Amino acid sequence: MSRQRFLLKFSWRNLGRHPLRTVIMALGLAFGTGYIIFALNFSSSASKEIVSEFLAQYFGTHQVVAQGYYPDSDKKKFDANYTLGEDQVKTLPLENYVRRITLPIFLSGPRKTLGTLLTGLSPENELRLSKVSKALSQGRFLAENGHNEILLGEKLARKLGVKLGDEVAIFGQALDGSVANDMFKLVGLMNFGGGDMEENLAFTGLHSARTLAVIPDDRFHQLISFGDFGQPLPPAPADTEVVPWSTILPEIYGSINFIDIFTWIVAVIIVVVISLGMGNTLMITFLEREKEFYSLNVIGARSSWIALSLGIEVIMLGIVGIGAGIIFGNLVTSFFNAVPISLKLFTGGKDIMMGGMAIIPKVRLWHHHQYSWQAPLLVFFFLTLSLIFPIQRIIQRSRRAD
Amino acid sequence: MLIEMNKLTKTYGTGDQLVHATQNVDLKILEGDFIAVVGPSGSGKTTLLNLLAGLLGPTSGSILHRGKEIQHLSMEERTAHRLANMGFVFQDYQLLPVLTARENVELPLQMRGMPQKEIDEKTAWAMTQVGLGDKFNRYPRQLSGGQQQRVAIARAVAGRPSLILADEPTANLDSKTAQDIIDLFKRLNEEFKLTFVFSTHDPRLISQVKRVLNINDGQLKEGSHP
Repeated sequence: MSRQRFLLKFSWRNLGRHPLRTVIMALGLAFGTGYIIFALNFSSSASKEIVSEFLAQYFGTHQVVAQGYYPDSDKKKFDANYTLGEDQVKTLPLENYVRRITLPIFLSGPRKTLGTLLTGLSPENELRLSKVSKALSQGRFLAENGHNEILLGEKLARKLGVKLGDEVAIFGQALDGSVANDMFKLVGLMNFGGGDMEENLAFTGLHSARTLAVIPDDRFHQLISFGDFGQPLPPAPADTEVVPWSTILPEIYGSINFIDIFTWIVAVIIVVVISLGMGNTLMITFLEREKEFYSLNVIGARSSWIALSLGIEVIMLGIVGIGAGIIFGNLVTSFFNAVPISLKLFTGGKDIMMGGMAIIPKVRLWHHHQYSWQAPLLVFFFLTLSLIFPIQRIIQRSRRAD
Repeated sequence: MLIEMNKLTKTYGTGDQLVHATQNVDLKILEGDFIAVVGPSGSGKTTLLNLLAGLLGPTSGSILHRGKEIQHLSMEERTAHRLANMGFVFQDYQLLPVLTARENVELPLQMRGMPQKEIDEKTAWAMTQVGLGDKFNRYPRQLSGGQQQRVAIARAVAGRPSLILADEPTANLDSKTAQDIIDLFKRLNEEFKLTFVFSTHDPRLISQVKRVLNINDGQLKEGSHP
């Protein structure tokens, strides 16, 4: 035990040989580690905030649909003939869900007739759970008991040549095979930041949509969750399918993943750069002591003992520097948790467009505790690699003596 | 017999560039010997000391330490052998600046894995023998050259090794301090029968040893006091 204690003391004192150099190395490790923890927390928090903000507007975190509603695995197509019944989904926590009906229709105004998607929704529930009403730019949102009211995207209304209070004609196919057609009154215009949503979506009340498409009162197409982002998916009730947002919007999920992976790649590059700098400084420090290592060997120190003492020095330096970095990274994260960062800082004041909608999130940084050990471990790993060359020299030197 | 060298040759280089640092050296060192290896620069003194210490392996011949051949041992085994059986004193002391005098003396004992109590006893004994019983906690930078060499000697003798090798131990010291160090070596040899082999040019040291070995162009001959 005293031998180990002696070795620890020896290594610790060696760190004090060049105090300024040691402090600079420790600060380098601290800032590097801290920055990586902050960057990873920022990336994950930003991804989460952007996606949750985006999903809260319209898409939700997951959908429950009847089996067969999405005929293909990529979920790009849907078959409106497959509906869900209230009795099928009663086991789910329905207070977190909105019911929707989605119909492909033709929408006809004075200027044009355009194919679009009509979403039937329950205004009361949407106001409570989703943020779709926040896109309203003119007029009012749908009334719970409103009859044949419709909301249109500003661009779509412009193309059709309609304004608030005008009527538009809808025709399509009802679920019983008959022709669905009726007149709807434009009560509001939606602005999704100028994206595709403004050209492709129209909204009406759930009841009006059911009447149009001849769907019974207890049936609908989608049950959409607006629960917490990242919550586990519920088990699918019989004859239904639970589809996460990542499956419905794979390109957005892919982009977010790419950002996360890219952040990790940058983090690894930073670690490598820091480690190269550290390795170089450590190398200089060790090479300056080569004569001392030789003397130690002469008085009986095995190369493994010398290597161990160097290893302990690096571990001690790492513990101090990386430990400070963990504290630093988490303090910065806590600060930006209290003071969220506006992403407009990075977009020149412009909105972020995602999935046809403008997203204007303020990113509140959250602690992702896994980064507080993953990042330090990565730094530590590369720091340890910097020992390879000096140790190799010590071993080579002892062999060269023959 | 402490050390026996038989036809020991150490050659550096290859082909036309061959240099015989030692050639067919036969040498016997007895327990309690007090020997100076003398010769001009480049004559092979340091090589001979390094061969004795196991820091170098011979090109041919054998070297026995208390009957055990050490030339076939690996470098790590020779290091372990050196730690257990030898002490080394350098011309420039080679104390570790981050350790106190006491810790410098402790160092080889710690590497041997001795119990702390035994280390404390041996360290105290060695420090007292070299006359630095009151400077345990001084760092090398706080000691004079002579005191540093005393600490180095204490480090070499603390483990009571069977052989102490000293490479020009008085070369960096003023004449008064050098004489003190020589007296110390002599006393340790006489009182505790410690065996010393010095590589030296110092006539004061040469005049006080029991045996003088002259080395020239790698050839070793028993010599006499000047």
